[in-house]
Amino acid sequence: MRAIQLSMLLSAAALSGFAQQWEVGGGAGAGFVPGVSVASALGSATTGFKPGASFGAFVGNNLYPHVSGELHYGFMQSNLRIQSGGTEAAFSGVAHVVHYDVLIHTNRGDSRTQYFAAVGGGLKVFRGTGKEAAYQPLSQYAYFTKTQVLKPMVSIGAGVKYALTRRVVLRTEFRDYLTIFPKDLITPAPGAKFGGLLHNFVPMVSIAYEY
Amino acid sequence: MRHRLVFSIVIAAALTSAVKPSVAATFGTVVPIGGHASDIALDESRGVLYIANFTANRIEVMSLSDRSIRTSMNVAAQPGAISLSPDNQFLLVAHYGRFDPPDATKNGLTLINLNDGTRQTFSTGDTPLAVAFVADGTALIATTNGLLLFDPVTGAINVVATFEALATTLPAKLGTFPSQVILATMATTPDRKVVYGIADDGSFQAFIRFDAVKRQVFASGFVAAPKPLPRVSASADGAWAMVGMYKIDGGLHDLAQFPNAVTSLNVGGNAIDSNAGIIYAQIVTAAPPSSSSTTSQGSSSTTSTSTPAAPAAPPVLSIMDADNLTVRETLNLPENMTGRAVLSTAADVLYAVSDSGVTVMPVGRLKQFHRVAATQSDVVVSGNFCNRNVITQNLTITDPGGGNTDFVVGGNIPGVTISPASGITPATVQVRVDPNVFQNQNGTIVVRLNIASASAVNVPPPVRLLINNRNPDQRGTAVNLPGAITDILADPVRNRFYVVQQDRNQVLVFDGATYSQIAALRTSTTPTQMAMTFDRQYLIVGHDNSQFAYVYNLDTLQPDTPITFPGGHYPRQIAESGKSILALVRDVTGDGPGAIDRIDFASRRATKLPSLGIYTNSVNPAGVLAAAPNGGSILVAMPDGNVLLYDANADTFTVSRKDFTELKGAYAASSYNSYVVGNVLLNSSLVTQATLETSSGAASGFAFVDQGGFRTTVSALSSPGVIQRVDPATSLGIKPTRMVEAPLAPTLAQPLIRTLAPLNNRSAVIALTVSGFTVLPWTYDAAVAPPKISSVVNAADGTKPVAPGGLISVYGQQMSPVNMATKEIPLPTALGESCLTVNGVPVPMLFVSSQQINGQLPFNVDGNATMTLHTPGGVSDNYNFSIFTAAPSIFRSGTAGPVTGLATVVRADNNELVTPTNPIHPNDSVVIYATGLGRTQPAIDAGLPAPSDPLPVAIIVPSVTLGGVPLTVTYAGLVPGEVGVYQINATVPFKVPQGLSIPLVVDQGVSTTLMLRVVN
Repeated sequence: MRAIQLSMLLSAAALSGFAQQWEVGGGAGAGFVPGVSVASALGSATTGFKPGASFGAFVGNNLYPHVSGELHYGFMQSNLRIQSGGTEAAFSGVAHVVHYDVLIHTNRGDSRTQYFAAVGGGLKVFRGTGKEAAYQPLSQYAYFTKTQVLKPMVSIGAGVKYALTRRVVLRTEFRDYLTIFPKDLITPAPGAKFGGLLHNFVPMVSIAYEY
Repeated sequence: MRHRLVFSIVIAAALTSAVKPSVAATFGTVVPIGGHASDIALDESRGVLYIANFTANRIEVMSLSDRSIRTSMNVAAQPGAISLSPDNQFLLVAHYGRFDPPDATKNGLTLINLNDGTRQTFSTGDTPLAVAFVADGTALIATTNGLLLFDPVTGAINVVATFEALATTLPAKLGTFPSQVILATMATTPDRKVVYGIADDGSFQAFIRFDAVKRQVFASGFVAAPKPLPRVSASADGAWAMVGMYKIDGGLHDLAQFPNAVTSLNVGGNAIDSNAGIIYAQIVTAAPPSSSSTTSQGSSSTTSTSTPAAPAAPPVLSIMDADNLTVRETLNLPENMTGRAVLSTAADVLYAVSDSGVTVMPVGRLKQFHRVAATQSDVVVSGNFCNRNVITQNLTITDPGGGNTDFVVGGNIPGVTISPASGITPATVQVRVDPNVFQNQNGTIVVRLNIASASAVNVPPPVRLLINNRNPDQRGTAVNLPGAITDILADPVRNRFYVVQQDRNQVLVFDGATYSQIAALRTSTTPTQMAMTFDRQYLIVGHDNSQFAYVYNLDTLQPDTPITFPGGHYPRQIAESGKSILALVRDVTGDGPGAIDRIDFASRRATKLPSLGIYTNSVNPAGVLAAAPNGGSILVAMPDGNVLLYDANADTFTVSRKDFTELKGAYAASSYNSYVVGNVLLNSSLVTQATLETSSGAASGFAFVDQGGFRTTVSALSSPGVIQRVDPATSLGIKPTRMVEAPLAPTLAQPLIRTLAPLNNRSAVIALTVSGFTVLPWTYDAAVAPPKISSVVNAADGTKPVAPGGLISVYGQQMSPVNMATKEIPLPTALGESCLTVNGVPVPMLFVSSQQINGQLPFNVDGNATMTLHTPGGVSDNYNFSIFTAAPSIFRSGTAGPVTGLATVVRADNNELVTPTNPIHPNDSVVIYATGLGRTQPAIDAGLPAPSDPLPVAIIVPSVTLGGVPLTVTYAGLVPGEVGVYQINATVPFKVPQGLSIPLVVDQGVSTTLMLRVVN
């Protein structure tokens, strides 16, 4: 009987966690970038970025009962690559994202589980960090470049928050960072064409603290 | 002919005598002991060397630090051998008491405890000859009747083996050294697990190998010729040892023996540095042991069994490669080594018994001693019909240790100037030759340039000066190959040929398309002749100074298991038929001077044939074997006029004739039952079918091709040789053609020689000639159309603008009968059989072919110019073109991965070529390699590499822009060490246009543009 009372007390405390004003958290995940097709008279290839680890941090503010805003920073290991047939060329790279999202919540915090959808925008910095060399395989399609590129970015995503305690929240979310393809980093060789939008899918698990 | 020979001899004599032998410095310090040393033992733990003073009955104790005799230990009479125990506690002294009348009490051992000074004496009965402590602390003792093992702790003596009584009897006649009395010695490996030894009774030698771990003895008796002195050193692993002039393995196989060695009464010694792979040795030879003494046409060390007195040559120490006894360097010694030589543990000091006692040689500090040497063996001076100007070649004289050493080179002879003729190393000596003085000498004149030094401790090898002065009718391209070249063989299935470089103990492999060396196969000592297995898979090389024939896999060019011959058999000649592989061996076993062995290639062993069919198996060791290419027969030809024929189908010798008193010169066998020896064409019964003409000279080379063949003759080595085809029907020579130089001639040492090799693809015929080999196009005698020049462009990007000193490509037709590139420096003004002039000035050339010649424009021509090309077909029409003062062009010779043809612009950041994947970044430094930047300050001669100090800077400084933005040029001039190649060092500013295709412009009045990728 005493045990039941204690658990009901903890539950009540947890439920009230979603009602806090500010939220600070950090998480880790992985980034996946679907390859971009390369059209060339010499053949076909796929270019883009290899999957890699992703880390992020955010600060959120509950603006309204169903709406909150969050400022995010993310770091992604994002090695450059070109693939054609059985050949692959790679080049070290990283990416940084900074964006502000608006979150639409499914409830006001009367449940331990809260679903949300997010949409926002920001900037993404692509950096090629590899060692340039006179010869790069598959250079008939594209050239890797040791430089950095800043691109405007749209962020959309959705996720679920689960209140572990009154102030501690476990978040899982899935985001898509949309940018223009960074051609200064992966430069089409003469005669090769590729580009358009670049999706960067990032599933992430975070821990947040609310106060 | 007589006149020319005399002329050459006069030149050689003049130069040889011009360098007066000065009092040479010597290597090593002599420590006299006031008696005759018989043995030494090194005790590094106490810092002393024990010296057995045989005649004064003392053990002298020499300090290693100051080389003084600090103390002497008086011992019993005639201490003949000493050995130090592994723990340095005991010194064992063997007393040689073999006197007449006999007194067994004088034969014994003294065991000296070096820790407490106590001594014990032991009687051995038989005379102890040599002692050697082994790893377990016991000592092996060789006596006149066997081997004993002595335990220094218990004093027990056990018999290991017995053999014939050895050694000589005292008293000896005057002037006899201890080692001549004792005639025995033993040496251990550093770990003392293996002992090698030799004992001699004056005519018969007993060889001993004792495995101290297994307690096993291998002993064998032999009569060696030449006889080795009892001087033994063991390799670190115990696998082989040096015994006198012989390198033998544990089974007494003669792995290698020093060429031209003769039996010495007392002079000699050796020590092995296994870690460094070298042997230090003094070995008495029939000729002074300098590189020039090598018999160029085969070794003459044969069957001497007598003991001639050692030649009165100055004592020298040879430093040899351990694998095949190739002499790396020769040092003058203060006196002769006369006994054991011992290296310190660090292998930095060599102690040797010598005339006065001991000589100490600091071999580890050899670099600190004055030495002198030339950096090249040959200096080639090629005059030609394009260029009768004085030709200058550089000869670099250095001290191999890097020091400053005095030297004197050559002397004054008409037409040759050496400047400076003396000086201090390092120095570049200019050898200037006036071709006009030698205009009547159309072959190659060989002059020996001697190098001498008063302070150098080494014996500098002489340099060959080769002067060739060809005329337009002389065919072929001579390729310089230093050393003694003795045999040539064309590969019938690969486009290669093989050449024996006898004095370097190697076979050189040459590419048949470029005539450049692609490999060097190390042989044993004195390789003589080559043969190929019938499946064309393996090359077999015979030796005059090894019991083994070496085998090489021709696909991998790696050594394979060698062929072992019976003891005393030296495989000089090898030939393969479809049935058997035969070898003609020098036989020193006493059965005969020479024999024919059959090789079982599967087991890699050879055995002597019991008879040659119905004939006795005794042949002249200077004979040769020639295999018919179809495998049907093998010809044996001997200089004494004997010829034999092995028939592969009958598997026996079917013909033996002696129709001549002498045979010398070429030898060959055809697939059509014809044979050639000297000037005689023989049929399948070895009966004379025809006698070839001799008016053009002595037979040098013959090679059958189908039913005909090629033949070379030589009248004198300094005159042009003659090559001609042999008509198969008439055996007459067709179109005798003068060669650029003489083919090798038969000599006393090598009366029968093989000097001609037609390549398998029938592109060229290779002949061994005076300066190396000569490449003759297969159609050397065909009518050749005059050459034509169709364009002249710079060699960097192939565009028209060219400038003085720039590299150029000349295109046309019939420009050269052969394809040939050269690495010769300075660049020759005649290459292949072509020479090029601009306004009459010879053009140094890098490459010639039928349709293209690459060369360097002289620095002293510009404006309107006329080019002409001289070939065997005649002289081209004049080709007129313009030479700009400067005309920069960037090379397109860069490669990156599989990509070729890249511009040679290099990012200093990563030292890689600028490409779209390695773009230029702001603030980068780049190096642009180009040609055509024109004259320089200081000026240099065309054909010569640019110096590094002072740097030759382009007089017209180029401007360099990238996307219109000027780059800062920090250097523009010739690349040090390169011919005609310039470099521009430039720095990219911070702000520069970006893009995939940004123009890089180099401008010197005439400009060149290159599109490069630039990024941030």
